[in-house]
Amino acid sequence: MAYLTENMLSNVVDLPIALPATDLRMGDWVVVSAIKITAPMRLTYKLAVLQLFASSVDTGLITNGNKIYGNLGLAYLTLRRNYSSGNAGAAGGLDVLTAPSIGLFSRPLNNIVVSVTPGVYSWIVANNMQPSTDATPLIPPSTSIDFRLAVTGSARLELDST
Amino acid sequence: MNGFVTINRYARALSVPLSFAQTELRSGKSIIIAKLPLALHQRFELRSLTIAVISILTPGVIPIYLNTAMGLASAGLYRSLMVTGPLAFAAFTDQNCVTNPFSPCVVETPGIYRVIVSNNTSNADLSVVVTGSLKLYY
Amino acid sequence: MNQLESALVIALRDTIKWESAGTGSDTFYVAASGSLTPVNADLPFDARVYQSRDRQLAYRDLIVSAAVVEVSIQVGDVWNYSTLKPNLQGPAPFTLPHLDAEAGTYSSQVRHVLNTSIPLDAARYADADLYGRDSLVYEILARACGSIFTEPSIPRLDPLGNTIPNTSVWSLAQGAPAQTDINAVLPLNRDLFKNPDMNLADRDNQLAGYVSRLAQVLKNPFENALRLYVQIESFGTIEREPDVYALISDDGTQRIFQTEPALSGANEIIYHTQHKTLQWIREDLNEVHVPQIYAMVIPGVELGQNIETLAQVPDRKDAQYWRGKAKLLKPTGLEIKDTDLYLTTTNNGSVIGGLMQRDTASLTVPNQILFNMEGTLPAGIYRVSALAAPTGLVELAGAQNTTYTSGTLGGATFEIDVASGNIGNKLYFVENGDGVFYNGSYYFAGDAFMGTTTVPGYTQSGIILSTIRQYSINFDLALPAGSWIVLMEYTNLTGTTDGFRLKAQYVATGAEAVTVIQDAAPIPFTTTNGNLIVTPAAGVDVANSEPFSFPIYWTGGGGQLHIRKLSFERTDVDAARYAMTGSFVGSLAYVDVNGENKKPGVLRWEFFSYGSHHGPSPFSTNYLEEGILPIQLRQVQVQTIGTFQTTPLSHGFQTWRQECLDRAERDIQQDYALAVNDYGTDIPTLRDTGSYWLPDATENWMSIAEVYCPRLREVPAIAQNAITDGRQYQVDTTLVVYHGSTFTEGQKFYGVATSGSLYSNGSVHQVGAFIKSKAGHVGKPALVPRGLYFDDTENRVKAYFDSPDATPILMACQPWMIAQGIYVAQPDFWMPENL
Repeated sequence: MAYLTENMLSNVVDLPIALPATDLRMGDWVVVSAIKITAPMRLTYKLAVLQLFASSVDTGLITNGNKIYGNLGLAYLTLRRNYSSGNAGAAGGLDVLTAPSIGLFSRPLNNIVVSVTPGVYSWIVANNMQPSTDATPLIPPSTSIDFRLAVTGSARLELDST
Repeated sequence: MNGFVTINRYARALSVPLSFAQTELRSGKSIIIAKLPLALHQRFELRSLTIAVISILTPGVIPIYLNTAMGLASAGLYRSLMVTGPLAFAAFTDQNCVTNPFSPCVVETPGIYRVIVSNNTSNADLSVVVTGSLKLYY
Repeated sequence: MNQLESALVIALRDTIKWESAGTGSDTFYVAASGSLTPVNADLPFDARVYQSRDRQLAYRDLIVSAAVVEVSIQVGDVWNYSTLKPNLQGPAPFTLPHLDAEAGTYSSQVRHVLNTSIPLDAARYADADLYGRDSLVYEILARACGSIFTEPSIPRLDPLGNTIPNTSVWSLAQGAPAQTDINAVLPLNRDLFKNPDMNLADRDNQLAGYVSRLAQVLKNPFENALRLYVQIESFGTIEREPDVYALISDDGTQRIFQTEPALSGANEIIYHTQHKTLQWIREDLNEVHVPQIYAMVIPGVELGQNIETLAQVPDRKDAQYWRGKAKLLKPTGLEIKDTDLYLTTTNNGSVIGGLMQRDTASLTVPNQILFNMEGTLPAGIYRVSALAAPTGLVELAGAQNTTYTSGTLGGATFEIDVASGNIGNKLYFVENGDGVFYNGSYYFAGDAFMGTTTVPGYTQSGIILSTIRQYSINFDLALPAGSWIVLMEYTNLTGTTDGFRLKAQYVATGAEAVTVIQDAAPIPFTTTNGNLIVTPAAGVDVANSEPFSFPIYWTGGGGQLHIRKLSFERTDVDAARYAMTGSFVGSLAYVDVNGENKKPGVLRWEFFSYGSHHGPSPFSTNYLEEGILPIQLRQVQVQTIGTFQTTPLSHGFQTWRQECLDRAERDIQQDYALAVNDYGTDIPTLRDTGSYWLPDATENWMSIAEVYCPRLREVPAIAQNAITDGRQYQVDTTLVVYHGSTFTEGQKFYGVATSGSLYSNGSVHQVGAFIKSKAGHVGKPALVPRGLYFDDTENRVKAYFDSPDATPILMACQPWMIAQGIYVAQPDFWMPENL
């Protein structure tokens, strides 16, 4: 194991993934951070916390029919490369952190995402709600299911991956 | 300095986040997303500042540029208020852009420094994300 | 060269033992002259004399051993290669004293004593030959050393080569290792003398073996070196200086040395051990270097270019060297290049329009201004930058009046005692007397009249002669509407006066004159002529942004009024918006920014042109909004935006230019510390009592840094009598002659004290790694004194430290630094701004 030098310290940049408490409407999404990397940089993603503060409806009434993506909870934070537009929950994301209920949810720190592929890496937080597709929805389809949420996290950028 | 990093030295190297999550930036408007006073014997380096334009919110518009040299939208580090005189900057012209991290912007003279993101058009509202980090040594 | 090659077969022992070598007493010391203890044949045999001679010969062997070690150390220093060298059991000098008269033959033989010999034969034959062997071995080593090193570590005994021959033959001379001494208790026979002599011969054999091997290393350092220091002559636009090449690979056939930037397969020197050739692989692979038979100097790629391996310890490299290294590698991305279209000052005839202030061009109200520049531009994208400073302070030099009145130091001096025939287009005043007759009218004392150059003369009306003086000067300008403060800086130039009655008026277009400065009471002048006084502040309300006249009347008081400066200032506006179009090479661009009062910034436009341009290329800008705070435009610069021609295979070297910059910074800081140490308490001060950075402080500070870093800053157009020792210069014209040598365009030479300070026939610039910053250099690496800062309260540049602590630091260039004349790194260090 090598010692840390000034050069190494200077070549490591910690970048924020931060969204203060924000109201996110049903089905909407927001890009929280975007980081562009080129060769020979390395991006390491470990830490992210998604906090769901409040909901405009009783979350106990939310069913799978309300979810755009059934496996992505009420809201989710996803990491995508070269994201330009479209629903962020589609397949092809590099990582996802879901909030299945009101509360605070963290990524496990030992689940490390490392990438050296050049591109723009975007963290997108999305409200996974839609008007229910159930035959008898518990929540009227005209009701917007909105969440207040916040994101806190960090990604490490190393300028030299060698 | 090019030696080993001691505990004390490491403790005095701080990462200062520059975070501007997706926000609507109206045409012609600028927002200061960070303001950092630097005192004597302090130094900071800006390595990475990325700007991404998520979408043009004004439908069907052909942008009219207010600052032709700064692209559609720009984010930069400034000592003065003039957005055309950045110490380092990233400008979105036709793709997302980042400052060159292999050529860090070093500041070691006392003063107040701002990171400003600017919509450089007179007719197009934009949805913009800016992410970056300064390393402050003191 | 004959360098004891036959001694290569001698098996070496690792130590040259001290044994009974003479040291410590006068009897046994080898004299500085090189003489041995003399034998007096007339005296009875004394074994001690012969014994001391043998011990002195043994000590000479130790000196030669030390010389071998010394040269080995030098080989290690230069080529980083540890050669075979003997161990010494004690310290010995490495310079061998030599007296030709003591030496026998230099053929390496030893005429040992025989059974038929007498003791004197041991001295005059055997000892002499042994003495000669020591000198021969030493001299051959010294010659090998001297032939390759620029500063050989051991001196020669026979510099002209007249006495000691070169030879490849070495006689073993019956050498046998068996330490014995000439001892009086032993039988006086042949072996008494021969045995010690054979031991001495054996020691010589060992030394010959070491020297022969060392000579082989010196003959061809490429076989063993771990590092080469190579100078490849500059050719074309690539500047090269001596470089260190480190061994990176040795497969037994090819020894590959590489320098930085260590691109794959590039910047290499390859020595082929079988073919004995050297080949240079440079970073540009378009032309291949043909392998050359090894030598310390070989031909390069280009015709007339040489590649020289320098046998010296590498020098510490300066910033200019790192500039050359940075230039070798071109990164990927957009390249900003300076052009020869720029204006570093704008208070001159290159600027048309706007308001010309005392020090700078400016736009006080929405208006147009044009900057005339001339040069060559390729087709493509141009960046035009202007160093701008919004300011509520508008200063006009006295001479910037519209009434043809000039004066000392840019001021306006009112004419007095105007003689007939000198009347011009001005307003005049009859001071006294019976009056004058001018242009068809009579004017009496106290009258004013408008002169015209078409009627330059007047006549006296009466007996008492009248004197005529100038009555007024006028300024035309425009200011944003609002409340302004007016101040005048004035003095008396001749005669005596207690004060001047002055009246100043604000005359808007089509409006009545409004008196701003009243002449009811004189403005006092109670100091020495020439000292400047400032009038009390007077307020003026500017109605609108239309041009107005501001006449100043000298209505009373003696002496000679001189107005140096006129100032208008508003303090109620801290910031303003500046929407400005730009027009350049037929293209239009826009700027719309905010600016703060008295804080410099940079305006930047980008233009595009399909074709190249030669000759005049004016840049004009039209100030459209907001028009509440004037803006100074102090400098203008045009740059091109292109794309780097990326060096092949340079992936992974993105930080190269930054590393070169970092190394340059460290070197400059070391040099600055050396200079500060040398100056001691005599170091010049750079701040005044208020810690303000003095106007010429930046150049003075650079001069301090330049003491030990003469290639620090580039200075254009060196005067023909200003060549300085140690500085490097480059020819800008067809040719230049310096101290009898002719240098052609692009060539460089150093100033040398003994060659004088004069050059002729052309022009040169001083070579340096840093250039004076211009408007387009904001954000580029700048060399700044530690502690220098822009005080946001006083809006001035101040310094926390004076020169001893003002260590140079590289940091991003800020607009106020450009205004202060700070130097930035040459474009060869620049990186793309974005990825």
